[in-house]
Amino acid sequence: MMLHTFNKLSVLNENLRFVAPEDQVLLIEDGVYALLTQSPAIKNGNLFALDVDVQARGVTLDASCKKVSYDEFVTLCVEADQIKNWF
Amino acid sequence: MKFAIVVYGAPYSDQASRSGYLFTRAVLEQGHDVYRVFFYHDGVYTANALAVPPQDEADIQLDWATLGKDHDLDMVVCIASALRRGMLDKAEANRYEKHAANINPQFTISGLGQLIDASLQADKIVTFGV
Amino acid sequence: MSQILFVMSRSPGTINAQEGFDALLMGSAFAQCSVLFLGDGLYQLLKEQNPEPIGSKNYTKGFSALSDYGVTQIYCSESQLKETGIKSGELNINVELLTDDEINQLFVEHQSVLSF
Repeated sequence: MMLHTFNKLSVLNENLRFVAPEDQVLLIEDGVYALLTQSPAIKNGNLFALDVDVQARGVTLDASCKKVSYDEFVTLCVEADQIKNWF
Repeated sequence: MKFAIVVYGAPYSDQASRSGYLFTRAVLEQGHDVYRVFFYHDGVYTANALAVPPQDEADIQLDWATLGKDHDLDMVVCIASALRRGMLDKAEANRYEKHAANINPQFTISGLGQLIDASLQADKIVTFGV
Repeated sequence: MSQILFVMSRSPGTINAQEGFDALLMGSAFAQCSVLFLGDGLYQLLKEQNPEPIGSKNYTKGFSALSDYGVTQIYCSESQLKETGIKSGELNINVELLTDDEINQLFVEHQSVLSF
């Protein structure tokens, strides 16, 4: 299982094709704007967004996305077999 | 677990330097080791000792320097990226006969080999890009 | 299997692309490295580049020397290459085209991933 972080909507749209169904996706920085326009095609509870970045931008989360702290971001990294930071 | 953190963005221009700082702090708070923080591309501006941000704004350079001091972090600024962008420590300023040095001594100027070493030695490498 | 995967996602006009190539050469001195071109990074593979008039060094000339540095695993995204409109005859180096699933697998197989 991999962890992918995305920091922009455009980068997410271009590279979501490389994310496997079991992988986890974390939206950070401007990546959290993805939650406004679409519910990204990430299911099975594998979608996360960084809480401070969500709050900073005034974005509302629906139930398909879990809000995580930096502490939980670190834990997601620890649990992942590989990390790909997309930017 | 050993983490390496890589920062590509300049403070204030992009969020990367701030995000990298908050992440590094969380890694340390969880009791993990930070093997190295490597500043590459515009990330090297994070080491600028001469920045004077307005008093009511976050001082990203100072926050990094303080974190580095408190936790004895190995914070490395890529020498090629730094020289190209006019970021010099005292030794480099002397070598190139420039009239000032601007790298905070809390940061070390070194080569790209430090990034490769970090990616081989650390259990996890996390990059904050722009 | 290679230890470090270098992912190049920036167009050749950016300093990040050039500094990414510098990192790849440095990496090849210490470890078994492979390289993957994605997104705008695919434009680095165009053969007829002449960026000197716009003040950039044509570092992509160095791609042909990658095999001398032991970098022989050179990949790109087949689906994204198709989207750029780049033809196989316009490439400056031999690259292996990978499907989206193969690229995900490539990430997993490497000890670490460095993105530029």
